[in-house]
Amino acid sequence: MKTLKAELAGTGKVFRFSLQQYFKSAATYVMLAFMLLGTSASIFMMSMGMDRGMSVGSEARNLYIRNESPYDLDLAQLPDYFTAELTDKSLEELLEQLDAGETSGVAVEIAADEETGQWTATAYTGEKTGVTGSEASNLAACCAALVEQARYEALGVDPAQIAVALAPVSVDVMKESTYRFPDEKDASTRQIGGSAYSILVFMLISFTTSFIVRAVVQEKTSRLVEVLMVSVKPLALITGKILGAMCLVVAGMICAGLGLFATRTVMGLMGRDTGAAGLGAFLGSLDAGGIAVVLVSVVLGYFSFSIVAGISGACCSGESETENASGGAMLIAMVGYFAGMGTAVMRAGTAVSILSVVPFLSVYIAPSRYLMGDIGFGLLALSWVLQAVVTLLLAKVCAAVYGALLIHRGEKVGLGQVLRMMKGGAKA
Amino acid sequence: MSLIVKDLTKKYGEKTVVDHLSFAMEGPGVYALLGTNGAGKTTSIRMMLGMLSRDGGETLWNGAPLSLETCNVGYLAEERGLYPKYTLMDQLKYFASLRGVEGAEADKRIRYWARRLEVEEYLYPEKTTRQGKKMSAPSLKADQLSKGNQQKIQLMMALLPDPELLILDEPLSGLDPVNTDLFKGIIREEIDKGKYLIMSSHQMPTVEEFCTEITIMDRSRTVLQGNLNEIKKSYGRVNLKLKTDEDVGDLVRASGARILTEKENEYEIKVQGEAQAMYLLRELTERKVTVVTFDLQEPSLHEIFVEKVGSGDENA
Repeated sequence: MKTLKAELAGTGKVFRFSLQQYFKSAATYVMLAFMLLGTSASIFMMSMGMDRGMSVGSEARNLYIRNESPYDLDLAQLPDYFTAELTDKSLEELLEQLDAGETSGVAVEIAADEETGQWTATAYTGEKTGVTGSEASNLAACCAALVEQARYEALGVDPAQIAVALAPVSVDVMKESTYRFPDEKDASTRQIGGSAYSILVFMLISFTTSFIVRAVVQEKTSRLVEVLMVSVKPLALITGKILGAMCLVVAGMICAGLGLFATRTVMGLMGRDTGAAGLGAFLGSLDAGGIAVVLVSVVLGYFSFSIVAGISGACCSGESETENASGGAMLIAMVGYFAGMGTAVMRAGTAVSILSVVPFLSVYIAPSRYLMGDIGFGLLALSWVLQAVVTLLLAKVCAAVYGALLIHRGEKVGLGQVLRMMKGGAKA
Repeated sequence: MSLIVKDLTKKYGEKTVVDHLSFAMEGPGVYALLGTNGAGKTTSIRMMLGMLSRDGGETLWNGAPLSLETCNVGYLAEERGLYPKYTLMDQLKYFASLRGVEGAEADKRIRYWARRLEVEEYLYPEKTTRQGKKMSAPSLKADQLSKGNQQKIQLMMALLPDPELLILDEPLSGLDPVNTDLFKGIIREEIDKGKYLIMSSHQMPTVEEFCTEITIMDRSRTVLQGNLNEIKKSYGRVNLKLKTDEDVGDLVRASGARILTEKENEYEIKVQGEAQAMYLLRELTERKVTVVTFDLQEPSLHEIFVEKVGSGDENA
């Protein structure tokens, strides 16, 4: 513990300097603005591009009821998210009004069918209406229910009896698996939740990896490291950089979150819903415990991937190899991402349990499966322990070779050479 | 205080790059580490500072292993560098803070060394507003400076923590004569302050100017070590500068001495010892030759170095 403390002395100063320099760079503000505006724009585009039938919100604001039946309708029974009024206007007049641009209006005519004599509630919308067909149909059904209630009242039936007579009989369809595992999330919820979480983690790790590799390569090529290492240990040097990059990535995520929140708010005011965007729905469904679970997993994963990125960066011989250096860490990140996406459609079972504890993959899989009730806290805790062990081992490797890699000049260092350096480092 | 380097060894696979390097500094002064390119000087310094793992040996400062905790070290590395896109002031403050020099004290030291190294105009630039008023501007970025001025900033970084042990790896390489004198002045001041300096250099006159103790390394091994004056004395006075009013080349050659250079009756001669030189002087006197200059000297460090390492590529 004392050794680790000595190895990490000066981390805070490296972190502050790294962060200070990030926020002095115009590129950082461009990136943050991109995160803010890019998220807003993409959510907006997704929402606008979505099929209107997918919207769960209501576009109807005004309901005009043309009642030709002899019954008095109790409009107070209707939902209050729109205004409803009885009208004496003719159907032609109402349709002209709706066609003239009232996109949120619906006209319902209650009239007797000439052939059968039955009462029919028919909903009409204008050509350019924003109201979906199913919503108009629902409004017509509501009006029909009012007619039915008024008919019972006209016959002198008391309200309690009317309530019994009109009580709806609901219909449900259930799969065999839902019957057998009633607590399990359905496939679509699991897929949306798992995929959204995987995307989030992948975004975080991709940003981090590229930032850290670039920072390390820049430091190495600046040829300043030798002087730095007189004042601070290599582990503190990389840890400070990792924390600095983490703050930047978190700032980026906050910007993306703000973009998401702002877009949802604005779209909400416009009467549109972005819930189907998945990511927002997933984040919105997290409680404090869920957030804690996600944070522990993500932070552990963040450090593991960052150390891999740091070592990869230090293996480079120059800035031209930055892309290659990101490759190793990105490859592991991609494997984790695909594992997360792939298991998102899998039901709880042995495969999911095993994948949930495999280091690096667990970062993508374990938290979302735990939150969906597919794995228990024991397995989640085991995934944390294994990931923490891997992180510490990587930190140990880093402490042994990072300094030597930074002052190494010449060709790119391969894995074999890193292992040999590690062996040499142990002798010091 | 004392610095002891004991049996420092480094191997890369089967290849030994530093082979049991040992030396000691019992008191303040300047110790020179000399050697051809690839002799192992920089690797030795890196091992001493704990940047590189070692395969054997140790470095002690006051009896304890040399580390950040036991010794305040300043280091000017052979590989010079600064963050090119960060301002000089940010970088200097960062380095000072890493060594525990912060706030007003850091500002004071930066101001002092900026003045001493004549880089104030880069660290505290001024700009003139449209109204003609002078205002302070942010310090320049490293990539806006010449190499020589960057080197001054790097020396500032080494000096800011007021180190008790200062390691300078090729401190004067790449400097113009004016800045060389500036650096030499600062090195002299640090010596006068009682600092311990280790200097690695290819510039033999500079080493002779400052260093009392030396180690010459050749292909990982120590080939010569000790007090510079004593080493020179051990070689004896074998360099003769002779100037006469007539051609005496044949006479010199006949005495068994070797003429190194010859120009208008002015000779640089290698003699085998003082006896041979005295014999030559007697011969000249007997032949009534007018001797304008007869200067018998010990060999220069340059000659000793070339003799010991054989390759003669010290200026490479």
